[in-house]
Amino acid sequence: MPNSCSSSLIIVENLSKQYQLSEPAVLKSVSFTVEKGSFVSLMGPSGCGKSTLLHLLGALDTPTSGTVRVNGAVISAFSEAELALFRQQQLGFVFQFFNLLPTLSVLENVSLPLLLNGVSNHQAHAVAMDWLGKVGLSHRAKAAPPQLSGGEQQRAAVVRALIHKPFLVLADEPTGNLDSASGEAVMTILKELAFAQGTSIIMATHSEELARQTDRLLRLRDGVLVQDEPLKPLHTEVLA
Amino acid sequence: MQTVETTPTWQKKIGLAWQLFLQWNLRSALATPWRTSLTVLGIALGVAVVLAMNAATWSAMDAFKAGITEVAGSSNWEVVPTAVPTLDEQVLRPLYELEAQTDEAVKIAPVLEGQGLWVNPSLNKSEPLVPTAEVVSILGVDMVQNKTTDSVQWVAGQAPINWFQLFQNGNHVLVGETLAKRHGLTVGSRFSLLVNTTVEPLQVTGILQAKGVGGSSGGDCVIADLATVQPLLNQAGRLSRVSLIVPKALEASVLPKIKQVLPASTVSLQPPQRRGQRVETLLKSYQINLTALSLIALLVGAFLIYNTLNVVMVRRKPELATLLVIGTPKRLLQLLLLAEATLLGLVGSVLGLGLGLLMLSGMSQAVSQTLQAIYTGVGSAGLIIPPWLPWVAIGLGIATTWVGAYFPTKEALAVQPAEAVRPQGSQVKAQLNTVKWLKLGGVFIVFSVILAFLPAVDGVPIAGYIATKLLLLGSAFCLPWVIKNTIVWLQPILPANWVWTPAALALFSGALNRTATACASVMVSIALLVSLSLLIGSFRSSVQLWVLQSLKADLFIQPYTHEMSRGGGRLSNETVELIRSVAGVAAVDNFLELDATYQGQPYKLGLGRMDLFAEHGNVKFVNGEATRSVITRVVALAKQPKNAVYGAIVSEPFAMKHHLVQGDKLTLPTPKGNLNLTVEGVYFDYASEQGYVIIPRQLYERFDGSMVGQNTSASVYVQPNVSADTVKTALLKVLPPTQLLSIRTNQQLREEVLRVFDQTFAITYVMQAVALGIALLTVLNTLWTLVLESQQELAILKVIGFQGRQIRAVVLSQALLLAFFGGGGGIMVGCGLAVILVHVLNYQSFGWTVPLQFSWVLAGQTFLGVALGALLGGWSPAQLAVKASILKSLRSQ
Repeated sequence: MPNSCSSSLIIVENLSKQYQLSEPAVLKSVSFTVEKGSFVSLMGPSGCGKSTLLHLLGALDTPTSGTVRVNGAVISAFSEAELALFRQQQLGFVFQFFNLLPTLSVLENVSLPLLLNGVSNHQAHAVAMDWLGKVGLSHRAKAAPPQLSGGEQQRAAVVRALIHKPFLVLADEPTGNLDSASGEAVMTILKELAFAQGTSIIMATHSEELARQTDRLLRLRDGVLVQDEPLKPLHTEVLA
Repeated sequence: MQTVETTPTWQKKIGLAWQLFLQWNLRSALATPWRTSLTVLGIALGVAVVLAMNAATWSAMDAFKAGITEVAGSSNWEVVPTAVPTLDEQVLRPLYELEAQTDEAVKIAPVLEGQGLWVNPSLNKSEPLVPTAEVVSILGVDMVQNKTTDSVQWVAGQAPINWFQLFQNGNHVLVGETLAKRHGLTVGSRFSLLVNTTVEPLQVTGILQAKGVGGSSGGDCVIADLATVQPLLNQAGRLSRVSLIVPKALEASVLPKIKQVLPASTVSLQPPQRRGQRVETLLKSYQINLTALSLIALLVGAFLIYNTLNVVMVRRKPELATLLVIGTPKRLLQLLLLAEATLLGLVGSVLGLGLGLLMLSGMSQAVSQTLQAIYTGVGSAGLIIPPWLPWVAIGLGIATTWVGAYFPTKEALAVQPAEAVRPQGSQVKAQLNTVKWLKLGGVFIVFSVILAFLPAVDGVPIAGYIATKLLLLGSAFCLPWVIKNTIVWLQPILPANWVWTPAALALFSGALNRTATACASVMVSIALLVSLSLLIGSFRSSVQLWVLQSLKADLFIQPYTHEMSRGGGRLSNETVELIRSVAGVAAVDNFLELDATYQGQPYKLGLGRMDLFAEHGNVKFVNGEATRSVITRVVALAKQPKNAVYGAIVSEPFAMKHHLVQGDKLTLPTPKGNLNLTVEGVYFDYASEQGYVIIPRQLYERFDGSMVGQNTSASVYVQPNVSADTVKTALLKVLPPTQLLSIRTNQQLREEVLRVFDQTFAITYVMQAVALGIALLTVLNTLWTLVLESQQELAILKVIGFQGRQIRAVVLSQALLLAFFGGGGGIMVGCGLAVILVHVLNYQSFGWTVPLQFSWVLAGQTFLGVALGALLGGWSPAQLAVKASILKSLRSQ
C-alpha cells in the first residue's frame, strides 16, 4: 500500500510499463514507497521487471501509466534539462558491468559527478582521493579501469555513485558479475558509505543472501509486486 | 546533492567541458588510432583535391590577370577592340585632339601586346635554333610620352645608360625583372625571341622592377617603344588598346565625347579591369567543372567519414549512456562530439593542405599547360595559392566532417540512458528502417532526374551539379533496402554445401546499419571512378573520330608561338607563298584564327579558303548534311555584293552558347560596317569550347583590310603519289634559317591533339586514385569492425564445429558481399552519373556532343578490382577471426 508520509523519499503509484502493444506489460500497476535512508532490495526471476522498475525510478525510461515521485516531484514530468540535473544531484547508479569510462583514470571517473556539480577540479580530486582511500583504491587512482579487477572496478563504481552524496542510489545487480568475496566487499562498502551519508539504496539482486542484508525486500513476479517484507533495519547491523 | 552546495559557474562549465574533451573525446580518439586516422585521411584527401585543383587553375590564371592589373597602372579607362584582337591606330587621332582640348588633363597612351618564345642560344652556330615552350610577353608603349603607366622603376644598377638606343635601334628593349633573373640578363646582354616565325635578336637596354609596367605577365616581359614593337610583331599600324587617364571630375563631360568619336561597332570604352573578366569568362567552365569534380571528391570523403564515425559512435554508445546516467547534460555531449568532429576536420584539413601541395606540384604543370594551350596563352610563373584558398579548403574540410558526422552523432545522442544498464552483449543493435531510406532515396533520385533536364544558369549547369550529388546520395539511401532484399533472395539459391554462407549472410545483414553504410561508401567511390572513366573514354573516342574525319590535309604548318599560346603568332603571306612554291604541294589553305567577341562572349573567328575546304575538307554537320554541299553554299553566298546576307558555318559550342540553329542570322561588327550572316551549318567540333564562326577569308577582307596578309596556320594538301614527309623535308630546305615553323604531318597532328587531350584530363586521374583509395580503405575498415563485433558469433561457430578455413570463408564472403553491393552498385550508379556528366554538365558547360560509350571491359575490370581488393583487405581480419581464442571471444561479450 502506498505510504505518503513526509519521510518518504520515493512514492510509486500504479506504475505500469508496456514496451509493445502486442506484448504483455512488463510492470503491472506497481505501488510502494521508500523511506529516506533505507536500503531496499528488489528480487524476482529474470524478466520479472526488476530492471524496468529501476529504469523508471531513475527516469531512464518513461512509464506507460502511473507516477514516480522523488522528494515530492513527479519525475516523468521533468524536462530533459531537469532530468539531467536530477540525475546529477539526486541519483547515483551502480551497474552490473561497472560502466566506468575506459579512457578516464579511476580518479577521473569518480571525480566526474563532483565536476558536473560545479566542484572545482582541485577540490574534486582531493575528495575523490579521500573516497578512494576509504575503499582501498588510492593506489589505483591513476590506473585505467580495464587494468583493474572486477571487484576493484565495482568499488570505484560505488564511489562514483555516492561521491556527490545523492538521495538515492539505484544498483542493478552490483555483485552479479563478481566472485563471492569481491561481491561481499562491494556490498559492505555500499552499505557503509550509503548509511554514513543517509543515502537510500534500491538494489536489484538475484541473491537471497544479499537481499537479507537490506532493510526491506520487494519481490516481483511477472511484473506484479508480490512481496513487500520489512527486514532487520540496516543501521542496527552497521552499528553492530 | 545533500551537502555540497554548488552551482557550476560558466568558468567551471567550460573547465568541465575541456576536461571531458581531453579525457574522453581525445583519449577515445587516440585509443583507436586506425579509425581516427581513417577519418582524418578521408578529410585530408578531399581537402587535398579541392586545394590542388583550385590552386592549379588559380596559378595558371594569375600570370594573365596580374599582368593586366600591373600594366594598367594609374589609367582608369581604356579603348579596346570588341570584334577582332587589334585596333587601327587611326583611332588615336581624335583621342589626341581631345587630349589637347582638355589641356592634357586627359592623358592618352597606346599599347600593343604580343608574345614571343624564348630561344636558347645555340653553342654551335651550324645547328638550327630550337624555340622553348617559354612564352614571353612583348609590350609596345609610347616611350616618348609614357603618360598612363606608373613611373618606371629600375632594378638597381640596371637603368638604361643610353635611353636613345630604345628609339634608334629596332632591337633594343627593356626587360622585366623575372625574365632577366631567370636567364641572367643584364644591361647590354643579347638574347633571341621567336616572334611569329622569325628568330629576332634583341639587346637589353634596362631592367625594370616587376611592378608597374615592368609587372606585365609577372615581370616575364620585354618592353619597347611602340615603333619597335609594331614591326617586330608584324602589326604595323595596329594597337591592342589605348589606355586613358580621365580625371574623375572630367569623366561626365569627356567620356561621352570619347564615345562619340569612336567607331562604336568595333571598339569599346571600358575600365581596365574588364579585360580580366574576359579571361574569367573563358576559364569559367573549366574552373567550375574542376571545382565541382573536387567537391564530388569531398562528398566521397564525407562518406568515408560517415562510415568510420558510424562505427566509432556505435562503440561509444554505452559510454554516452553512462555519461547521461550520471547527469551529463545532452547539450554538453553534443558540444563535445561537435568539438571532436571539428578537431578531426581541422587536423584532416591541415594534413590535406600538405597533401594538396604535393598533388599540386604534380598537376599544376599539366593544368598550366592546358590553360596556356587552350585559353590564356600565358604560362604560369609558378605555384600561386591565393591566401583565401587554404582557409576555404579548411572550412570545407571541417564542414564535410560535420556533414559526415551529423547522422552518426545524432543517432548516438538518441541513445537511451537505459542502454548503459544493459550488458554489452545484449545491447539493442540499431535497426535500420530500410523502407524509410528507400523512399527518401527514391525522392532524391527523382529530383536528380528532374534537375538533369533543367537548363544552365548563365552558362553554369548548377542544376546538373546538384543532380550529381542527389543521384549519389539517393542511390546510397536506397542501398540498405536493396542489400536486405537481395540477401533474402540470395539465401535459398546458394549451394547447400557452402556451410559458411548462411553465417556470412546473417552476420552481414545483422549489422546492416554498418554494412549498408560501408557499401554506400564503396559505391559512391566506385561511382566516381566509373563515371570519370566513362566520361574520359567516351570523350577520347569522340575526339579520335573527329580528328580522323576532320584532319584531311597532309601537313599542318603554324608558328610555334601560335601553337604554344593560342592567338599569338602569325604566318606572313610571303611564307605562305613560299610553302605553295614547294614541289609536290597541290594546295595550301591559309587560315586566320582571330580571338573575337560576340554578344559579350569570346569566340574564335576563322577565316579560311572555303573553296579549297569544299574540295578537300571534311567536317561532320549536326544535321548530317555533306561538307561539300554546305561549304559550296557558303562560297556561293560570299560572292554576293556588299550589304547582302552571307553564309557561315558555326561550331556546335558556338551554336549552343548563342542558341543558334541552321538558318538563323548573326551579325558580326567590322570596321566597315556589319557583316550579316546566315548559319548555313552547325558542325561538331572539339577544338575550342568558345566556339568557331568560319567564313571565307576573301569575304571578311572586304570588310576589314587590316587582316589581309595575316595567317595563323596553313593546311597543305600534297599532290597524289607524293609523300607528306618528302614535302616537309623540301619545305625545311627552302625556309631561311631564321624562320622557325611548326610543321606536322597529319599523323603527328592527330597524335598531338590526343596528347593535349590526355594532358587536359590528367588531373582527373588524381581523383580516380583518391576514389579507389577511399573504396579500399572503407572495405578494410568495415571488415575489421565486423570481425571485432562478431567475435561472439564467430566463437559460437567454432564451438559448434566450424573449422579455420570455414571461419575464414565467413569473413571473406562478407568481403565479397561488400564488393558485390559496393562495387556492383558503384558501377550502376557510375553509369547514371556518367550520363549526367556527359550529357548535362559537359554539354551545358562546353557545348560538346559526346556519345556515351559504355564499356563492359571497364565494368568487369572495376568489379574484379574491387572484389580482389576486398579479398586482400579481408584476409587480415579473416586471419584474426581464425586465430581468436574461443574463450576470450565469449568472455569479451
